Amino acid sequence: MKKRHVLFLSFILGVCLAFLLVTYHKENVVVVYVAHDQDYSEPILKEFEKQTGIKVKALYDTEATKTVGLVNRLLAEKNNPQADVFWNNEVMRSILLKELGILQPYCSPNAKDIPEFYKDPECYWTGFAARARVIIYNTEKIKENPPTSIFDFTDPKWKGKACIANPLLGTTSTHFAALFAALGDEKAKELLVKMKENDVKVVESNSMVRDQVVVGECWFGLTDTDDAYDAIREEKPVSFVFPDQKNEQIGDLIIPNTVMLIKNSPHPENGKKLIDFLLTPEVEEKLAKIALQMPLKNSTSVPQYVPRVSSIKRMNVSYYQIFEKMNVSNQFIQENFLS
Amino acid sequence: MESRTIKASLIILIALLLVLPLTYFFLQFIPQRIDYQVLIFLYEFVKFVYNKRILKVFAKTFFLGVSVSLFSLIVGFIPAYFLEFRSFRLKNFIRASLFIPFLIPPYLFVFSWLGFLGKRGLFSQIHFLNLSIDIYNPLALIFFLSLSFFPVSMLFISLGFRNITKKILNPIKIFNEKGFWKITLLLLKPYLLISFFVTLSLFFSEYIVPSYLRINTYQSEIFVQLATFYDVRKASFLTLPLVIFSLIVAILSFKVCKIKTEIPDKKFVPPHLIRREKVFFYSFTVIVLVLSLIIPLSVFLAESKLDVLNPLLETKGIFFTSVLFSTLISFSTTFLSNVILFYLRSSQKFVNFLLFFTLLMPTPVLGVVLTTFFSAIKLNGTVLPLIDGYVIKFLPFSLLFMMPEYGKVTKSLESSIRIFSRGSLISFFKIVLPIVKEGFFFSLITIFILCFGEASLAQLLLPPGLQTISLRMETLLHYGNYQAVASLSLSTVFIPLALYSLYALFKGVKR
Repeated sequence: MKKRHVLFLSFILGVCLAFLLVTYHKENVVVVYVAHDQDYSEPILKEFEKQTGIKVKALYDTEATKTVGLVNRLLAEKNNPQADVFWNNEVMRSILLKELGILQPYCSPNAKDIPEFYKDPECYWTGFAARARVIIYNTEKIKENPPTSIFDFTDPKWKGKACIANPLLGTTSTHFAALFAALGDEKAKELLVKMKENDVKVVESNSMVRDQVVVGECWFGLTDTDDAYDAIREEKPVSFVFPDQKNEQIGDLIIPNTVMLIKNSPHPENGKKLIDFLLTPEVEEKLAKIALQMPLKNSTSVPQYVPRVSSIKRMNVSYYQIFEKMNVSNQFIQENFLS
Repeated sequence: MESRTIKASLIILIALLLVLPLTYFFLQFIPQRIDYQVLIFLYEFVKFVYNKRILKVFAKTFFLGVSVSLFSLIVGFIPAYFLEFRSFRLKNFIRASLFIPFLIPPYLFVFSWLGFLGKRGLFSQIHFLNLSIDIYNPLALIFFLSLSFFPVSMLFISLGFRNITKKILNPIKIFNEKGFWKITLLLLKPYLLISFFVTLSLFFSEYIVPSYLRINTYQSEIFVQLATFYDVRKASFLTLPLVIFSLIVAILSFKVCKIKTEIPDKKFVPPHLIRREKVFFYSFTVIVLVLSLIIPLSVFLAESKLDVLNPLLETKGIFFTSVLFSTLISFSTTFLSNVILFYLRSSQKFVNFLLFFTLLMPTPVLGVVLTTFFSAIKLNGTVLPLIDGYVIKFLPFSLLFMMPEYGKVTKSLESSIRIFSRGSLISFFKIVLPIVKEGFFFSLITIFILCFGEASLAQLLLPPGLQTISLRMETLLHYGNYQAVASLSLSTVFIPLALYSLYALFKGVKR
């Protein structure tokens, strides 16, 4: 190899290294790990930058890795945390982080008007802008009497027509743990066995459930409000219902976003400012408009098409009760439902 | 620079890059004192890993992996043979076209096929026989991944054919067809086996595609331990059989690569295709190209609505970061593997044993290992963990690619270098690298592509504020923004292709 080739290669390497080793060491920054969808969260973080002048360094999760990336990273970084704030899109992993000593309590003044049910009693995490689990169905395949209950997934008339996301991951795993908490272990296990017998398809993610229903590969499925709303906004032939809303039924699972401060974080003051910002009615309003996330604050004004959380009958179990059932539910699913 | 100094520096580098993080991590799980805790640990390990369900999943995954590797090898072998042993028009064009499918990350490859065969797909619109094609099964997994990985086998076997050209010329004349194949396959053995190991390793790195196709694999079992139970210990338990298998590959690859290869014979002029060969080769190539390239690209074109530029401009910063990062990793990894192979040849078995440790290690586990280690030494949050992660991940691949090439650097050549050259490093650059340059470029390109499409290690190790194009594409896929995903997929295929064409043009003009 000629000298000029070596020089050329060294030059390329040098340029690459110089570029990549540029790490921003700005003082006025806040590092946030974001499990919420990037397209919805990024504009909000940009707005925070604009209002406060604090530079936001965000790290987003992807659908494929679920929260495996961010939560495992927070756990592994326990000795030298990099994140100041974790914006989670659900509650179970927030409770897990609290139990494992990753979080620092912070009672934001902006959390006062959020109902107690949606926040940690010791201020380790605070909920805002919630999603709910919904049954999404294809309006071309099901023209009348759509399924309205989780138990409809076991109805023989829908055999092989329904799908759910992998029940070991994401909000579907929380939903099944909630069913264990609400129905009791035996009834929940029976429900899962019957779902399996009824050939309920297991697809990769909630967004895949939406896509399968949109194209009619599944007639209906279980997903989150934001995924369902994406399809409706694009005028796909789908609609959705909140499951189990009748008096004698168990109700639906409401999943708020949660925000929390990381213990021993590098910029705690900026972290608190970001938490305060995320808990303003303006952020809830924005999330309601772009992602159909339902506000938890009464003071938040939202368009008519966004339902109020109070209008949905929710499952009568606390998030801590659901958390206690996560292991037993996941174990059963892994060994009996998915095997 | 003195050879001894370089050797010592290399050993220190390997220790810092690889041995230290892995040792630090696994020591956390192993009992510190030899007492009853060791027995409890062993009991827990055996009970967890060797249960019927896990063994069943492991056996199924292993079978799928071997099938994918074998099919890739077969599909890659046929064009490689014709490309090296026969003359025909548009040879380089066909070679380049057959390599393009590897530029499409496997999850996007499957995404395109789902777009073609699925209910919203093109096929469902045009087929009139009302055929119901179920692609959610293990056969589809073998089909898709074989089509996605075969270009690596093809180019690598091509490299092997080039290195044995001189040797088989005479046997072709002397023996009949049977004798020819016997000798060829024997001489090609290192390339065939290493190609098999590489595709097997690529298969074990894949967990998104099996979950797309609703197939539970061993990789998914490990992923679930991290994503559902957040149990790093159990994920590490499950990783152990893969580590053992990686070490077996290390030993085997060392053995097969002991076979000496030759410096290519440039004088060899291949004969033209005869009619029978023409029909077979062109039909085969057309079928493979339709399945692995035309269908995915047509789906991407249709989904992108021919708007390639806007999504690319929107993500230009991310794209630029990915290109630079992949360039850095491919250069440093390939260079490092060459230096290791040249300077640590005498202790190659031991070095392989150390470096192949991570060949089949699932990337989420490797990511957690490195985050834990770099967090302990307060260097997390920089680009160093990610650079280290990619070097660790791809170094065994580069070593595998380069090992048969170093069969050309014989003992006598080494002695001559030692006697006549001015310095050890200069002789490495001036004499050795030109001999192995084809393998060097092959490794460079392949590592670049693997790095460009990688997402799960990046997710765990990327410093906050940065993003790669693979992560962005996965996010867009989740939103159902298929138009942007398809446009970016086209960009990831055509930009390297344009660069390659420029290079080819430049090379052609120079000649």
